[in-house]
Amino acid sequence: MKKKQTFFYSKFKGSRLLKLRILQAELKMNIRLTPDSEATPFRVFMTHESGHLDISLYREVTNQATGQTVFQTYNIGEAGPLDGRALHDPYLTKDQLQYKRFTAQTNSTTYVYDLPEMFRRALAASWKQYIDTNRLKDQSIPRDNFVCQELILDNRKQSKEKIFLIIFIKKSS
Amino acid sequence: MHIYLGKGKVHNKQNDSADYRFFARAIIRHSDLVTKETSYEYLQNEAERRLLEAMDELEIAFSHPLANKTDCNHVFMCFVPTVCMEPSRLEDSVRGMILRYGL
Repeated sequence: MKKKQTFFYSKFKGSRLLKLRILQAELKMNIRLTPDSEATPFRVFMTHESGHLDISLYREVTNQATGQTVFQTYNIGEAGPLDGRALHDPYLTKDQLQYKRFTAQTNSTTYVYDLPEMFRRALAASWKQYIDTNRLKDQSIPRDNFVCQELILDNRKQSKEKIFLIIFIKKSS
Repeated sequence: MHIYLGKGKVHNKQNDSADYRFFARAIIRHSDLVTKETSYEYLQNEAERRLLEAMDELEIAFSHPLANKTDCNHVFMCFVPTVCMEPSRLEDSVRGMILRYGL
């Protein structure tokens, strides 16, 4: 019984962030890398716009000459979306994509162009799992294991434009 | 905890559906307001508490007539105490916390 309750509770909690449409979060903290070093301000940004969680970590770096503070990506391979942007820049407003996504999501459905990325990530995750359980090398993941193509009927044949999304997933040989 | 409702500036007249957004902002201070340093565990617990608080406050804010137009709502937390840690640990604990509240 207890287990069932926690399950329901977690399900209830689960929908909360999305129900409140909290898609962005930001943390600022002062971090000392070693006990004797200077404290540096860090920021973590989280976004959940396209249906998956993106986390980026930045260090605040002040340019001594101009006095302007900018974000600098810390420790993660590729540069984050805010890399090099000034600290006091206003938050970006929604782009056209997010407007469409919002319309789709308020009608409790998924924005169709988010589906390929969803499949891509899920496929990458299951390949990762397969590699880990069989203790294989990372290189054995085929590079082009996901192909996605959009077909649009032209308007002469149909009064209404229809969009089809075809996704091919290559199976391992 | 402060809640703000922001409206994006409309630059072109054709697209009049403005961007509405709630901002929840919280400051997390030292446990006793005196010590300059704190443990990572304290901050983590405090962050989780504040996240729950932010969600409660936003739930109340959703009674606002413009609330159903809001999207990309934003939670900001500022930690005042200095903490000694490896910054990449942040990513893991943040991911864990968000997954716990379900995405």
